This record gives sequence, structure tokens and C-alpha cells, in this order.
Amino acid sequence: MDRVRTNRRVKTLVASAIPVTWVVVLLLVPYALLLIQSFWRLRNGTLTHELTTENYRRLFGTSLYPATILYSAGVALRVTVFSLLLAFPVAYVLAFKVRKHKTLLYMAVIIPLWVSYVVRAYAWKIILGQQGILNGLLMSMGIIRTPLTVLLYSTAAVVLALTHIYTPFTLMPIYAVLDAIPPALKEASQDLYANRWRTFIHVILPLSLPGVVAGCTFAFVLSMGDFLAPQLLGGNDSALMVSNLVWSLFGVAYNWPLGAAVSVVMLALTLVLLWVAGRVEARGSYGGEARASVTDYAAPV
Amino acid sequence: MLGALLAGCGGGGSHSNAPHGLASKIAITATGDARADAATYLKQLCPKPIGGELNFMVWEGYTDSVFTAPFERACGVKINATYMGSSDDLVAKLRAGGSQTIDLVSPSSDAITEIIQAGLAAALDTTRLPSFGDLMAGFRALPVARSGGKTYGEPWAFGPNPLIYDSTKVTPRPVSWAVFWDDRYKGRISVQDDIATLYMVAQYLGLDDPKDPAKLYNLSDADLDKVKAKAMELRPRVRKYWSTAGDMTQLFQSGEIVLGEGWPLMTHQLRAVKFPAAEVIPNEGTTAWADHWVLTSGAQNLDAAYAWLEYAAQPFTQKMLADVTGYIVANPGARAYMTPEQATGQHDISEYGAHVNFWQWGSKRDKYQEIWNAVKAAQ
Amino acid sequence: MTPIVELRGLTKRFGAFTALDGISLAVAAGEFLTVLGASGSGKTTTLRLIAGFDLATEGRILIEGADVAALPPFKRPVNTVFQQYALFPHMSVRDNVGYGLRMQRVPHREIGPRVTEALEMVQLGPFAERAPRQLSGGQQQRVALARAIVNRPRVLLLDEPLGALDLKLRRAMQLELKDLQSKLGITFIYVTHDQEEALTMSDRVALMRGGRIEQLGAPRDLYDRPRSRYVADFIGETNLLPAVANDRDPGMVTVAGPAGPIPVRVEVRADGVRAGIPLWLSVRPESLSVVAAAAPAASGDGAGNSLPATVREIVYAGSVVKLHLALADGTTIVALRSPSDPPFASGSSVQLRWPASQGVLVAD
Repeated sequence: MDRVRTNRRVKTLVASAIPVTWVVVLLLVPYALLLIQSFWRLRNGTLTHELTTENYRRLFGTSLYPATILYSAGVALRVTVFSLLLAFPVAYVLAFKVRKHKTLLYMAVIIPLWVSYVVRAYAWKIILGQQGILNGLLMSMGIIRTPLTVLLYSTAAVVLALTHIYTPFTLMPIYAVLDAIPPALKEASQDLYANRWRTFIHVILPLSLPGVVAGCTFAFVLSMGDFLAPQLLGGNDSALMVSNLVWSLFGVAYNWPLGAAVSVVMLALTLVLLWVAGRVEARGSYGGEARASVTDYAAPV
Repeated sequence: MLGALLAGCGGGGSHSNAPHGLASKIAITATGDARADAATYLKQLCPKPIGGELNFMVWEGYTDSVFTAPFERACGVKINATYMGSSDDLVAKLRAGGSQTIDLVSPSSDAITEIIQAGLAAALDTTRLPSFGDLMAGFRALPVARSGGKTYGEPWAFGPNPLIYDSTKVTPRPVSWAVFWDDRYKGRISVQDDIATLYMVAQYLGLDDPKDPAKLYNLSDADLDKVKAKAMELRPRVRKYWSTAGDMTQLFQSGEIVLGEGWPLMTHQLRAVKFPAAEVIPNEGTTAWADHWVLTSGAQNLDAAYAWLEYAAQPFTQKMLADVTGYIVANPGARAYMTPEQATGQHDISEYGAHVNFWQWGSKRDKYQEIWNAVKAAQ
Repeated sequence: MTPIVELRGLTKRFGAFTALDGISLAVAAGEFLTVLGASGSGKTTTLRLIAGFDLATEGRILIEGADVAALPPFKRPVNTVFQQYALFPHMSVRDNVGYGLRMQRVPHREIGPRVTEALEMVQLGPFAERAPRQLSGGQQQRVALARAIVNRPRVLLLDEPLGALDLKLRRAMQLELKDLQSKLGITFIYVTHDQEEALTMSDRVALMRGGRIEQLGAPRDLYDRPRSRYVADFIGETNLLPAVANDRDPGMVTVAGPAGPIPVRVEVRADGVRAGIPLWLSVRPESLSVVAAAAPAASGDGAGNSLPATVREIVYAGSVVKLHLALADGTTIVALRSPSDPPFASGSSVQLRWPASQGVLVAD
């Protein structure tokens, strides 16, 4: 009996060793190094291993850093709202209204994911430029006389491109959750005198909440950390999001400690966000434990 | 990287037998055709293939296949090139371990001092470069490529950061950087996403002292505040910041901008596609760069590297470089291959230096970076 | 008396497939009607059309005289108990049960007591605050029931409600359901594929086959007087002997014997039975008595039939002994005996006997 138990314990230990090692080597160690580095001092362009809180003081003491984090969060929030508004109806139609070729249509929605990010960003340049397709169309229709410059190299362009890129990420978990709702639940609701709208409000929406939270978290976290869209499509006021700043600190200024400090702050913000999302989800499903939880999807940033 | 290492080992083997460095110069009979002469020359430079690979991190345009491909074929060396976005980009990359994986770099006059200081470069054995002495004397004499009596850089090319404009849209011909703050061109300007833009603003504000070129790169905090304020005024007038030469030429071609600060490479490329680009060095002056080839401290396959450096110094190679980039090249002998028209664009660095301020690595570069980010950041 | 539910010529097609082929049916108020059938017979389609989850291709559905065929489910005065219960996982048991009342905007103070009452009726009072997930299958089934009956529907539709439960629990629930039905006086339309369940619980059974009603009647009618070979075979266990009609005497048929056809007397003939088509004689295992081959003919039973057979296998099943026998043409016959009857050895020759009133002659 005892031997059986010991045996099982050894097996459990061995089985858990692989994921634990994975997490330690690929997650905890890099983050620990990042954290340590954020307390180092940069002296004459050389890293010294003296501990200092200077990096954090500079981070919070210079408006550049908080302002950029705030701006990035604002962009991410808009992307999240637009992605949700686009993704939910599509996911709903795919899950409930489409009967034939469902997988095919789902793939059609997801396929943009396979197109290179840069290609899509360039496509937006072609569409939104002053001599672009959209301006050409608006001018030929007589709606505007001179080309609109706000379309490209602007926050609007960044939000648009990010929405385009991250909507499928929002759609996937929402679709997964909607598709998993048994049709009988909808029928039961209608059988119990709820019309389509009330069925949606009282049954479909609450049950889709875990997917909505997961999708929104995706859109927010991924677009908050985006690097290319501001570089390719941002203009004079929209070329710098927090990842560009981190890149500039690491890759240009060689100020790794300050770059690490900004990364640590971002990581902390992301963890808080994931925690809040987890709580919201838990509340969404009666009696704890949700079907599809954000923590099932959330990749560390 | 493994390939480079293996190749390095192979190169090391042949190195011990017979160093590839040349005791004497290879003489060929010049035909006036740069490509043909390069082919003749390379046959003698590499009578048998050296093999292996060379990893470059260079400015855009410096590994054009017009002159790299014949070298790769003749010497059996594979060149892997990465473009650098800015001087800081290169220095950060080398600091972060790049000096062990990259063999040759082409830093400008600012980054080269930092690279040597940080011990990321290897001194050149000029006895293995018999053509070194053919390069422009004033360029070779630049103090930036020397340290402790050793030479670290082989002169390659130099040029200014001119004001580039669309001559059909910008009239009259601009003579001052002030045109950037002219309301007529608001929203139709591009400047580099780099602290080089701060230098330009400082020169416009008259903060550059021709007698003390270093001042521009070490401005006082008070001066920097002025620069920042003026740069903030420039901000809403900028359509987009460029990061690569391709960005800038695209912006011109797609009609998004009509003027900006850039590199002669861009003017050259735009003209090649019949775009009415023109360039000017404004009255306030501009900054310039002088680029060298530098061997990294961890460079492998030295035989191939020295063969490349010797080839790079040849007049026909330099002529092809001038064709591709429009830059002023380091070997005056290249002019023999040029039309008189092309040759007029070539100057001696000592005469040229009086009009421009060659980039230096300032002590407050970090501060310049933060100011530049603050200018870019949302307000 | 007007029927509470009446189906007239109800047809449902899915593309080229006809799921329901013009059925007509009248259900009386308070009746327990079971729609029985194999899968694909159209029984669930019938229920879904009445509930309104699917719309009929043709025909009318009258509930208390009003045609509801075009109404959405939420406007029909019926409630459904689903096969997989379909409880709302994000609501407590109490909220599940109160859902229909809230949707009907029943005054709030009325909802609480009615929900409590419904939960007590299914003995789930203490479980009101649990999540459905925390209940056993049987308990979830009761919640589903409470959620439907709390609305006091005139008609309750049940779609294989006990299908997911194990046998013992199913038996217990069958009785409970029947009891509840008679207590509440609600009309039940109950769909199942389990003929035993149908016989146990129903006032009437509609046996469906290929989108049509094969036979409609009291359980006893279906058992004793099947209208076709299909019904005889589907309901309970039976022996089907290939039979040939006698042209001159309609009361006589012949079945295969060891030395040529043997005449057999029948008293019950289903519709559609005539000479020249394949016919079967259906005799229930419990109607057969098995005697030794040499035994004399039973006296006093003029209508008695007798057939020689061979014992193949003897299966002891507790309260009964199942005898598997073979007729001369190889037809397998099952007969039931009491364990106290004198045993037969496998391979022994016997006589099968049954009264003429116990054989039913059916066509295909």
C-alpha cells in the first residue's frame, strides 16, 4: 500500500517536472533576470551591477514614460472595443445562423491571421494614403475636395490596423464559447416564454462572457504591446507606443536597466489586468469555475 | 551562426598555412569599365576560393549585389548582410554580443569611436591592405578611426545629410532649414526617427559652432531645452518619421511629403526612378558622416575579411559604390571611371569638411535619445 | 369534448427527406400519450413541431382549438422537458425554475412561493441555491421537470426525459412521473424509444414508423392486437411464424411442419390480411405451452393448436425459464415456462401448444 503510494508520488513528480521546468526556464528565469536588471545602474554606457531604484524614479518622474503607457492603453482600449463590436456579431452568426460550410466560413474569418502582419500594414498604406484608394473614392464621389490626411500616419490608422489584426484573436474565444452553448438552452429559454432578444440577454450573453473576456484580454494585451503598427502607420503624434519605447531603450540607447524597468511595469499592469479578467469571468459563471477561462488562453506577454 | 563558426574554423586552417594577406598590390590594366576590371582583379585576388561566410551589419546600400556578387563568386565567400537603422542601433547590437557574430560593420564617424572605446573593434593590420594608401589622405587622417596608434577603420564613403525636396512642389529652391517651419509645407515633411533630427534643429537655431564641431553633440541642458521646444514646433508639421531610406523614398513617391532631411542615397534612388528630387545643404549647414569598414573584435574568417577590405578599397569597386549610393567615395582613383558629370560630385574630404559637421559620439547621447522620444511621444 | 392538442395532416420535410408524413392525432385533456418509435421514426420531430422549435412544412397544430403552427415557441401554451435537461448552467436551481415565470412577468412576490412549491413537488427544496452542475443526473431531471410544471402548462412535452438515467433510477422516475401527471392533471405528450416505458406509463401509445403513425391505441391494444408485423415485433417480445392463408376457411392457416404444411386455427386477424401476400402468425412467448411430444392432446380445448419443435437452449432467468426452440423449417421460437415445470433436455422433441385466441395473423 505504502509502496503504491510512494510509486504514485514519484510518477506525479516526474510528470509534473516537465511543465515545471518549462515554466521555470522559459518564464520565471527571464522575468527574474528582467526584474534584477531593472535595478542595475548604467554608468557611461556600461552596465554596472550596483543596485539602484533610479530607473523607477526616472520612469515615474519623467512624463514621457507614464504618458506613453497611458497613450498605449488608450489605443489598446479603442482596439478592444472595436474588435469586440466586430467579432461578436460575426461569431454569433457563425455559431448559430450558419449551418452549411461552417468550418469553411470560420476559416475565412481566421485566414487573415496567416497573412504577414507587414503585408497587411502596407495594404492599409495603399488604402489610406493621400493618393490612396479611399481618398480617391471620396474625392471622385465629391464628398471631399482635398485628400484627408488623418486617415494615414495617425492614431486612427494605428487603431484601424490593430483592430484588423486582432479582431480574429477576439473572435476565436467568443466563437468557441458560443459554439459550445447547446442549442437546447436557446430552445429551453424560448420554451419558457423568452423571445429572441430576452434569450440573448439572459442566456446567450452571460454564457458567452468567458469568451468575451478572453477575447477582449487578447485584443487589449496584444495591441498594448504592439510595436509595428505605430512604426509603420503612426504619424507625428502616434509613432511611439510603449513597445517602441522599450525597443528604443534596449536597441538604441543601450539603456537596458531603464528598458527593463518599463517592461516590469508593463508586466505588472498585464498581470493585474489578467487577474481582473479572471475575476470578472468567475463572477460571470454561477458557482465559480468557468467553461473557457481567460487563463486558458492568456499567453504571458 | 554555426555556419559562420565552422567557416571560421576552415578559414583558420588555411590561415596557418599561407596567410591570404597580400604583400604587394595586384596590378591590372585598367579598361575604364569598372565591372570588367573588378572581374579581372578578383581573379588574381582569389586565385582559389577562400570559402566560408562573412556577416555584415551596414548602412543600406553598402552591400549592393553590383559589387558584392562578383566578390562572392570569385572568392567563394557568402556575405550575409543586415542593415542598421541608426548608429545607436549598431552600437547596441555590438554591445549585446553582436561583435561575436558579426565580422564587419560600416559605422559612421560617431559610432566608430564608441565601438573602438568599448573594445568591440579589432585593429587593422594595414600590411595586409596594400591599397590602403590609395585612399583619400584626409579621410585616412580622421582621428575618429584611430586609437592608441592603431588604425581601426578603412575609409569607405562620406556625405552630408542634405535637405531633399520635390523640385516641382517646393519653389523657390530652399536655402534654409526654416522651410520646415513654413506653413506652406505643414504636414508634408519627413525627418529621421533619430537624434540626427535634433542636430538639424540645433543647427537651425545657430547652436552649432563651426570652430568647435564637438559642441553640437554635447549641448548644454539650456540649449537642449531650446532644441526640444523648436522640435516640438516641428512635430505637427511632420507627416511621418522615416526609419529606412525605403520609407523616405516611398513617402515622396506616394505624394505624402514634399521635403525632408535625408541621405544622398535617397535623392539618388528617387532620380533613378525619374522622380524630380533635388537636394541642398542649407545656409545653417548640416551634419555629415564619414563611414569606415571596421573589423569586429570577434571577427571570424579573417582571410575573407581582409580580401573584402582590399577589394573595397579598389577604384572600380568605389565607382560602383558611387553608382549605387551617390555618395562621395574614399578612393579618388574612382573618378577615372566616372563621367565628368559624375566626377564633379566627388569632393575631397578636407575641403568638404569646412561646410559640414561630421557626426561625433557625444557624452549626453542618452539625454538626446530621451528628448527625441519625448518629442515623438503623445502629449 | 374538444381535444386539447390536435394534429392535422402534419408534415415536415428537411430538404428531400420527409421526417413526418402527414400525421393526424388528437390528444384528450389530461391524457398521458406516448409517442413511441425507433430513431428516425419522426417522434422527436412531432414533439419539436408542437413545441415550435421547428416549423411544419404542411398541416395544422391546434392547441385548445387555436392553430399555433405559425407561432414561435415563446407564444405557445406548452412547456418542454428536454432530453439532456437543458438547465441554464449560469443560474441556480431556483433561478432556473423561476425563469419561465420571470419571462412571463409574473409578479415578483408570486414567483418565490411558486418556485418553492414546484421544487418541493419534485423533492428538491433543499437544493434551491445549488448550481445545476452540482446535482446528480436524476436531480437535474427533477429540476427540468419543476422548471416546466411551475408554469402550469396545459400540455407538457417530454422528450426522452429519462433516457440519460440508469435503469433503476429510470424505473423509479417512471412511477414518479406518472404519479405527478395524475396529481397535476396536465396532459403529457411523452416521447420515448423504450416500448416497455411506453406500456407502463401511457393511457395511449402512438407507435411511429417512417414518419407515420403505425398504430394508435391503449398499450393493451398494441400488445394484444398489433396491426402489423412491425407493431407485433416492436411491442414486447413475440414469435413470428411464416403462415399461408387458407382460401376456403378464413379461420385456418398453414405453417411449415416436418412432413408438409400443418393447419393452424387463428381467431384474430389484423387489417390487410389476405391470401397471396406474406403473412405471419404472431404468438407471444407466454402464450405457448411446451409439452412432451408423446403427450396426449389437451382435452376441452377445441381451438387448441399444436406444432412439433426441438429444444435448442434453455436459459434460466430467475422468475422464468426461457426455452429456445426450432420449428421444422428452422424458425426460432421462444417460450416461457415456470422454473417449477418439469425440465426438458436440450435436443428433445416437444409439442408447442396455444389456444387459437392467442395467435394474431398479421401482414407486413
